[in-house]
Amino acid sequence: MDPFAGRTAIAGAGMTELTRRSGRSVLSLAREAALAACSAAGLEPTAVDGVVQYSMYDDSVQAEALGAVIGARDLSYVMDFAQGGQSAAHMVAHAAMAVACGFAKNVLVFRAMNGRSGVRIGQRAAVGGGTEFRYPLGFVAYPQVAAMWARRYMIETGATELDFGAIAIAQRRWAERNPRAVLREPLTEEGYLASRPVAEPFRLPDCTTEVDGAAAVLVTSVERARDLALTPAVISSAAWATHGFDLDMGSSLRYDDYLRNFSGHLAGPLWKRAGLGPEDVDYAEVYDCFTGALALNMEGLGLCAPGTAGTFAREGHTSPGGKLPTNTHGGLLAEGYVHGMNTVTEAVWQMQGLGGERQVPKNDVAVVSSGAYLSGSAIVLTKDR
Amino acid sequence: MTVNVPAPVPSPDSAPFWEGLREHRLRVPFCHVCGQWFFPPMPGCPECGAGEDHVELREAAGTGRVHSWFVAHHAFHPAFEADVPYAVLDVDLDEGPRVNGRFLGAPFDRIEPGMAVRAVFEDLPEFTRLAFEPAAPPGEDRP
Ligand SMILES: [Zn+2]
Repeated sequence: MDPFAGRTAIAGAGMTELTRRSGRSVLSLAREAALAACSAAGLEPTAVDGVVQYSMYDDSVQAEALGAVIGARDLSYVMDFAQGGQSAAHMVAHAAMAVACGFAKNVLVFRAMNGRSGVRIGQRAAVGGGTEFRYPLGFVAYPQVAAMWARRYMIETGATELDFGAIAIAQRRWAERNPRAVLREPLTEEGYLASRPVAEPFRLPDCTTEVDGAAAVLVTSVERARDLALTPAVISSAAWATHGFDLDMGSSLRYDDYLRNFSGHLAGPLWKRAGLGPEDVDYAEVYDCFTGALALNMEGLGLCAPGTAGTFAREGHTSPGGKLPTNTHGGLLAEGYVHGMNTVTEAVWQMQGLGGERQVPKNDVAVVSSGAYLSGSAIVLTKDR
Repeated sequence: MTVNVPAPVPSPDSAPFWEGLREHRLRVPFCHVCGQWFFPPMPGCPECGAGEDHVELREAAGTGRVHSWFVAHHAFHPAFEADVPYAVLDVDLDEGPRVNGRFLGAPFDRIEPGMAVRAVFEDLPEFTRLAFEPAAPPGEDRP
């Protein structure tokens, strides 16, 4: 039997509201989301014995500090992971490994950030790595990295800017149903075309919306989760892939195929470990810091054919009522950029029947991915039966 | 207020690259063990793992073809506000490695995938940066 698959579950998920200026400390946001996850699960915070978190440019707070402010006693597993959007599913996997191996019983995973009023990742200059070769050129921000990949995607697939637009439009339909989303007004093709170019081929709606906020989930064993308040979202698989890396996550100079991001490299082991395939997925919560990243992630996971993500979205398959509801919170594009942790919480809520106005009709199998280009992670969640 | 373009802070691995640009020469790492060129400069060959003693920054021809590009309309750093819009290229050098450079010498609508380009050197007060211009007249620069 696989030592990992199906042994652990997410028992509860929690989030703060998303704002442009929280006026609160990052630790305060983290605490609110963590307590919300515990409360949803019906677990006393004092029973938490592990905390895992990730950060970018030191914009978060230490895992152990969260333990202190929720009244957790001694911690037997902690991790602070200094990576960005590629982290969320990987952090859940780490918590699950800690639980499966007996290092901890109840592990909180969180991401908290004043991503709009504090450190703005999209606009922040990184130091070190390969930045010395990009920054003097004015190649200074992650949207530009994404645009470089998107242009090559268009060259190789024949996709147009309207294909990226179709993705943004489809996700906005979900955001209209999500009170937490920061962009809820409908987006039309005309509106998309008229919006401000940022890094061509990308316009503003192709890019995530930075917010202040936090999201957290509680990972425990499947057995313990069964005794808690909500339907367990069983962690049936997890995988990480790094491909074509050189000096930092913004450098794609040694990446061979801009049509196949990390997700195309982890899909094999991910589905094998789950004993499932992309055809089994009822809904998908897929990392989308940019529309172009969403396309690569959908295609890499096998959810649609290479080069077809825009058409797939335009045909309504990912929208409410479609055959593969995708980013049912509106995604990072429209709900807001909690760095993919809000993509995990949404997957959990949908599986627990807490999707509200946007609840998907069938919720037995979900895939969640985290990351955009060189590296990233994914998990498969299945409803406990 | 003028904000200076962020100057590179060369490492021991990259200093010969920047010194080369200052002399208007494109110097790219070459591995004497596996015979491959690579970029960016690193203290080990990513093709075969050979150590830095086996890697030499060697002058490349400076010619290559456009792999991808973006056109910046938003300056994410104040130093580039006066430059927008500007284009940055992914260029596959004829020796193999991919490098980035500004696009100069023609309107952006000239840029096409596979277009032949050649290196040019932009001298700024503190350092010299890499750029590329079309290698041939319009209509004659496709593969
Ligand atoms: Zn070598």
